[in-house]
Amino acid sequence: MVAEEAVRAALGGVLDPELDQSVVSLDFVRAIAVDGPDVRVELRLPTFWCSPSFAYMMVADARSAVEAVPGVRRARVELVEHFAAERVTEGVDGGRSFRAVFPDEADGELDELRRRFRLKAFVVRQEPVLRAACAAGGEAAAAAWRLGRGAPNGVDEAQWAEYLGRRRDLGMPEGPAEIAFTDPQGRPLEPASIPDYLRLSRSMRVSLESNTEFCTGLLAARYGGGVEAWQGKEVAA
Amino acid sequence: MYRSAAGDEYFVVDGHVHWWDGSPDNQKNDYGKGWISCFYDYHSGLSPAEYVWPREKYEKYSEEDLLNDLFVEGYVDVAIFQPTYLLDFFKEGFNTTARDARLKERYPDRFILNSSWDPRDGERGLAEFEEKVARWGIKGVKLYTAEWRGDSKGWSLDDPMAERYLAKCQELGVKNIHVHKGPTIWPLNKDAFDVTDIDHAATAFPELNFIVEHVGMPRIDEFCWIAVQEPNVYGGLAVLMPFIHPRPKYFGDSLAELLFWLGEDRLLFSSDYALWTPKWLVEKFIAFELPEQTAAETGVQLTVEGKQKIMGLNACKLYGIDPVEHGSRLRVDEFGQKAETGPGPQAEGALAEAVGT
Repeated sequence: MVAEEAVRAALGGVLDPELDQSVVSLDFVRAIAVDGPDVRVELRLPTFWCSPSFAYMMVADARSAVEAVPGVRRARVELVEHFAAERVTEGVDGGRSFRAVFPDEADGELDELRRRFRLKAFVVRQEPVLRAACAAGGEAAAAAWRLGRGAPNGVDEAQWAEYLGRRRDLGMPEGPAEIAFTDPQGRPLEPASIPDYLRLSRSMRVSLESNTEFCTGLLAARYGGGVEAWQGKEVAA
Repeated sequence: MYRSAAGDEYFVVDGHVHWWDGSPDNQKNDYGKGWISCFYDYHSGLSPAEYVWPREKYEKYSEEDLLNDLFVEGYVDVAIFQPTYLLDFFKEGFNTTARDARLKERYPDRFILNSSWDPRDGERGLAEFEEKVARWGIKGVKLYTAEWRGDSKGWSLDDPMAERYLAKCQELGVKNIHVHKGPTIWPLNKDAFDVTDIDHAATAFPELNFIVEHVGMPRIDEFCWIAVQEPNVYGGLAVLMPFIHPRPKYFGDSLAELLFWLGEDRLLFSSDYALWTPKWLVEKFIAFELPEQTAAETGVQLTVEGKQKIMGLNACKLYGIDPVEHGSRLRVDEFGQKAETGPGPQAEGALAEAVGT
């Protein structure tokens, strides 16, 4: 018998690609049902109209993640209460491509869209780490920082690990002699350009954070009872 | 009109209001039901509890509600009707220009009536649009590029036919193009909220003003990149505004970005009524100050002058309204006589001072 906790832990690694947060922490997992080696998962989203492209990625990624849990034979992930719920659910369950499921509405697969949001996630995760490196020794030192030196002061291990994870998602090299802070295309940063670069990073972060707050608020409103708690939540400065 | 305790006067233009019918009788299918349910979650999720309406009222509110919420309780001087047709989801449409026109015709000083067009209507639509402009003196349009129509899931501002319509707007003096992005659009595998088609249109039509509704949310960053390059691109603050209640930090962060990239001359207040009601938005915004840390990190300020522009003076410029002259007529109309005006003292001339006349 597969443990529900193992399934939940696997889903913890599945990200909303647009928000760069786990579907578990976003409270998108409505149900997990284990039946011997077979697992059924229900995913819910903040609105009836959430973009089906991102929904498809989450459902497909969730299926892959759960099927990678030892002992799982088959995972079915159901998208619920969404305008394209059935098409997405059955499409992923049947192992079909996005294009095959939406032949009239799509002109390609989701790789480009996924990459676009991975680039954003990289920039957003990098920003506080790069700022800390600049604070520690100036822009020149930050531009020359090597991975082997580890996290700058003031950056905790989790933040550093998230940043390394986003580098990995983009296929960046990971040796200790590698430059720690490049642009999303992997190009080194000129020390003099770092303030402008960080200015753009800030905009991207603010946009992503606001979007995340918006989505969590809508989810709380949609699924009842959560609004008061959501509205009253202390915002971490 | 809002007078702050400090004696500052604000001419309030609500840049985006609706008079919709989302009731079950008007819903055509589950999409219509899903649409109004989604709106209700926006409303109940972000409004202060005391301003949340019952669902039934929200689906279809009366004209008395609208007039009272805007002009009596909501401090609004002039409201801009922005239609949202959705004829595939609602039998009579969700909120058409014809419906809005009923109120515009009765209260001409209180409303600006915007229309819409859809390039998928082709040549016939061009002629119909011209008729609407002539009939109602239209000065602006609201375009919803994600509107479904049969098999089509949307369109783009850089479609050749859309350019024909934009050229028609330029020819007819319909200068204000409000653009609204939505979650489903062809092709579905691309980012539905992408705003780069606005960049293309704003470059091609420099005499038109492009007001991007909900400041490109959820892509404020990409909206800012475009706006910084295109001086005729503006940001409508609908949807971001209500953040001021549950998430003042994120509201401040986002506003600081907009002030940094666009500046205070290119932002327009909107309640998106009845998504939210203007009363609390106006009160909270005028009381709002950027946190010191945000101001220090971004180098921007939110001043009284900036708030006066955002609350109404910027929209007055786009729509050719003289706030002093127009305001003097509104003070004595049937709403002006009983309207709430905020905590400040009666200050003759404060508005004239604010607009520099």
